[in-house]
Amino acid sequence: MTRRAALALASLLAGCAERRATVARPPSPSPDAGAAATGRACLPAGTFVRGAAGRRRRDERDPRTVAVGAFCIDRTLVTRAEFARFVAATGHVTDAERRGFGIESVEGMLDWEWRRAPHASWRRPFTTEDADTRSFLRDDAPVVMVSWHDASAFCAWRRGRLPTEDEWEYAMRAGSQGTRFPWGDRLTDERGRARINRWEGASHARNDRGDGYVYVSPVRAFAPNPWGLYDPAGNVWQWTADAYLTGDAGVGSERVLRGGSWWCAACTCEGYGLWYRGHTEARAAFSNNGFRCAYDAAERE
Amino acid sequence: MRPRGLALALSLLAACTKSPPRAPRLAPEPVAAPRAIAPAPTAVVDAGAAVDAAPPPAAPGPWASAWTDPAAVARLAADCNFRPPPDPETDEGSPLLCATDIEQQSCSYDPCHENVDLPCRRGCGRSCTSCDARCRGACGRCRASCHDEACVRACAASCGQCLQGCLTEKDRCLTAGCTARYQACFHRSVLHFRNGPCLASCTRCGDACPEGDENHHRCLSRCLIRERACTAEEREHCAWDGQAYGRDYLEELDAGVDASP
Repeated sequence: MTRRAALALASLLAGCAERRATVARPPSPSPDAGAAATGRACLPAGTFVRGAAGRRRRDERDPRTVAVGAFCIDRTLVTRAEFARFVAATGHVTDAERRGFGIESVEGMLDWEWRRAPHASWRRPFTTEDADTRSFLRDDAPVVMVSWHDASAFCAWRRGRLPTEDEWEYAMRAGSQGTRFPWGDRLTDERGRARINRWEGASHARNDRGDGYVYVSPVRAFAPNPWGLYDPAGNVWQWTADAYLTGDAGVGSERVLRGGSWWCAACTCEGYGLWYRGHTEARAAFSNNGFRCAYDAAERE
Repeated sequence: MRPRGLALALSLLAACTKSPPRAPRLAPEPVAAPRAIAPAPTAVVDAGAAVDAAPPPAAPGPWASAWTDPAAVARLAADCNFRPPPDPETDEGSPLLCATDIEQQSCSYDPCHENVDLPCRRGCGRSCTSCDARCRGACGRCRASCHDEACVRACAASCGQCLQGCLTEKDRCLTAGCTARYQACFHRSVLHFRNGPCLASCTRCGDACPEGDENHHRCLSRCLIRERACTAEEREHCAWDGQAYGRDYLEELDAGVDASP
């Protein structure tokens, strides 16, 4: 075995080494700073640079300027309490409830491991209840185990829709360019406090709880981006309206999710950040997938 | 080395072969049923959490969500070989069957992943099917020794736990198991490209076919085929990434930074 191969194997076995953060860029001003108290942020039309040179994943490369029209977007992820009101009002049955299972990953499982969780749904998105999994049950926790269909139905009920991928990244970037987060590339603030909810630990066997959470965090637990939008990365993956296309496969049944989640660690998907593109089946209900809604600019609160 | 580390190392070394891979071993022993899915533990209340008091009434679900559900156990008590039909409304396969995969949550797209994924999935499915057959065989043997209904029900309950264990193992195989194979495949692919004859060919052809030219890809493809130094997969790497394919990955590994693809 060559030295390089040995190093590679050792590194793969070592698991989640931390990536080095680079210097942060100063944020851009909020386009609607006066509306910070409302549940939605209404953003003017604008452009941003999507993709980053040097990204290993092919569909995250090739920086290009993208134009986005004016639109509004929820400041926070949709909470469990909000989703409960929707279900009470409409009688909506989620895909997980219809199918009889959600998909979960919990502390102690292998890296990348997921399993079907019989009877789990947004109401109780786990099979084993303990002090950590009870974080899913908070009123202000992001709703999870909702499929793309469920998320779309909720947003339609609110006279909104899921954001497109471009809208999502434009809003979450808040004027930043080329950085992993809207505030730069660092995972912590100047006092060393975590800025996002992600998986911290050498493996999924144990979460070091450095950010204070094992699973989901309340939707306003961390500071927002410069445009007042919470959880621009981490906590839960966020459904977008867009289908995921690979090569010449054309339109499929997968949809794109953005932002990364509490499950994402350096050793697994590493997807917490603004350029990562997650994707899964539209019907899938994972315990780390949630959403927020967008609204046409004319559809204000 | 801990058993898990050893298992992962072996998995990484196994890499991606063209022949159907051996799926991770699933089988619970036929007689001793595997442990049931997570038992419902006592709730531990987090005093600081604002827990939702009462979500709306639960919606009606399918007839059974797990083999350990009473409805499923009752069917097994009547017939060890009972298999639920597809959902009549959606035609979706039952989540209680090995043939039904849980969805995967992928963060990236890579041809290596695609190449590994399908054979790995098949291997996991075959292992689950074998596991399923062993559970049902054990169920039949158990029933044969019964003299009353209570005994039959106990056999069915044990069979349900066994079958559910097969599904949990399959999920682990499909997610953690196949990803380990994918990572090993990516690593091998990079080493092969960067240490093999294709790299020089890719560099030469890249120089001969300027980027930005509308015929770049056609020119590159013809050049690489003419030179015969690259496999079809390597030609694709060269077309997508040029001669830089895998370079950052190896540099990050050398620097000790995790570089999982």
